[in-house]
Amino acid sequence: MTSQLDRLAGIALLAFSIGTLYAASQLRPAPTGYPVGSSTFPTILGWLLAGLSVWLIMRKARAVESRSRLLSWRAAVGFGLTILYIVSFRQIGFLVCTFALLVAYAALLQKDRLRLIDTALVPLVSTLAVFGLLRILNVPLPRALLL
Amino acid sequence: MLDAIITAASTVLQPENLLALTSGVLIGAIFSAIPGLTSTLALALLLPLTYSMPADTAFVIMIGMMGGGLYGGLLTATTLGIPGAPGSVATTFDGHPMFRKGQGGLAIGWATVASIVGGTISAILLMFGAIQLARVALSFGPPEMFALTIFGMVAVVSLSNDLTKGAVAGVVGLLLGTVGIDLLGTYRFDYGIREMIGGMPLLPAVVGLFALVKVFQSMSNLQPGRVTNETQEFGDTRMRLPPLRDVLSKWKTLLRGSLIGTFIGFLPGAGGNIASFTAYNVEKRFSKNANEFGTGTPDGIIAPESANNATPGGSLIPTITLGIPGDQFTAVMLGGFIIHGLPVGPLLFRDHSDIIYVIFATTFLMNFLFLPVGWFGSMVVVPLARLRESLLIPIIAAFSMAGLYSIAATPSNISIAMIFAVIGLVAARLDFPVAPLILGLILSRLMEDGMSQSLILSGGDWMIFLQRPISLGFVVLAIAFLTAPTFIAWRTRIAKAKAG
Repeated sequence: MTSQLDRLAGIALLAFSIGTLYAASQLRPAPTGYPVGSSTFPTILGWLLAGLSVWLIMRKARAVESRSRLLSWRAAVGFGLTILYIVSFRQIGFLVCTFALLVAYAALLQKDRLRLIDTALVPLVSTLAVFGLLRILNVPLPRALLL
Repeated sequence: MLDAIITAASTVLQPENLLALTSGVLIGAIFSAIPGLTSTLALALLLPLTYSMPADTAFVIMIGMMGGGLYGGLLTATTLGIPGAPGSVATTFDGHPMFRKGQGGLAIGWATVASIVGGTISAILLMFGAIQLARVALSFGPPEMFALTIFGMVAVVSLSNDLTKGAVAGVVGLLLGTVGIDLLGTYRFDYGIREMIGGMPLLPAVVGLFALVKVFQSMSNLQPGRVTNETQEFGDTRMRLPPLRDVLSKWKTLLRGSLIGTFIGFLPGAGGNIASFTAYNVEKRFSKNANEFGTGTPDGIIAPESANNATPGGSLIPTITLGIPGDQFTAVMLGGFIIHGLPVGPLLFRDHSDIIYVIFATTFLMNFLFLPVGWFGSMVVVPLARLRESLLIPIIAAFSMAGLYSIAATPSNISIAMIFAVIGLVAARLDFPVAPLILGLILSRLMEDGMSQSLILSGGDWMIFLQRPISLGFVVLAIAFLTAPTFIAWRTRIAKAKAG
């Protein structure tokens, strides 16, 4: 029996390939006298992916090694905070936002008790180090509410 | 010619130039070791500063940055399993497993020896065969480039434990690589995101698939007080060079990797990324212990690193002989020639041969600086890998975010990296390999351009790929690589059936 997850992946990939073929069909066709256009390569790849997806859905079961977890609640929180970081650091400021994100990461990576060195000191030093690096590289940082 | 090279070497060994070379290698290595930063970025930032330098010193520092940039990525690839640069992705396959076995110092030692040998062989080929090799590069037209990319893709896919999943990952990578403006000037699948108009950026993809995936996986698989790598009990903390006898026994692997790197390096548009993947795959095919690849075997480090570090010689050939950059770094370096009022191409050979020989000598001499850089680099990076995850992961995240932000001074590259992190997490959950995805992303543009240009040349006749000997050779090799695993499995089944 094919692994249920592989079958689901095959269905998702098939949907992706159909979407790709549709998006490719909307691209400019080949100019007159040209055998290839902007849609040729994506279309070939779309059909190839569709074929592979169908094969993934239909094929016999394979021995599956241990699968990793997708996301625990901690990683999901970390992920959400990273998105919040991307959205907010232009408004709030690089230093404060980066420090806050690293503190959150460090806290999410500790289970029993929060160590001061992990949760505060290393994020602070890391933030200052990358801030210094970006200044040396002359990378413009957003002028925001807090630095 | 030999006299000219010796004179140039003595110029490079003058204190100010030696200091410039050391600084260049160090800067390149540091930028390359930090995920998200590249030696090309370092060169772009420092190029204006070379204006006030004498031309020889300027080129010494630039070449040093190039070499250091190719070398430095292996430090984090080996110790943390996070490639500092795309060219070091293949090094993670065996470098990191070797580190996890408690042989991190030896893994860095093997990688350093391979880098020195690869760089030296390619420098010698550059010195004595630049013009001849440039002619070979010119004979590489669109059909040959297309066939080479097909071969590279097939070679990586065929290494996957599950061929179908490897192929899916490769095709998804190729599809992601179609994002951005194409050969005909059409904007494709960029959805108005400025950073994607020029194509799907590679660095955010690498950082997302390796560094950010590690961040979120660490949070998912949390164990109290766990160190990042289970190597605390091992004493292998510094670079340890392998015995000379062992190095000599690997001469075939070293030579194959170096020649592959030099060859791929001089093809315009190709670079260390493709060279290291190809060398790894070819070595696995040649190896009697192919099943040890991926578990921490020295051959799996030697092949990609010798190829990766052999690319400078190769990529400098079309740059200085024809004015066609072999990769991103040499494209920026062309600016250095302009700043110093130097022409590229035949005029450079005729009117400024002194600079040519300084470049040759530097390309040769810089390799020996990898020893001290590797020694000190391992002293910094190896202890990092032994930190608790709650200490190390925020450091990785901080530098990754800063590196991604520095590419365009906008957070959009961090967003792209997050998308790739999701792809990486899903791929890990479903046992899809990420190496074909990365290579697909790298090769997509080259493959499409090669295919389109070839079909325009042939009026739409696909037989063009079989009518030219070099492209036919690559197509045959690709078919052989694709069918070999099935053939071997079939023969094993037959043998087992006979025995049982």
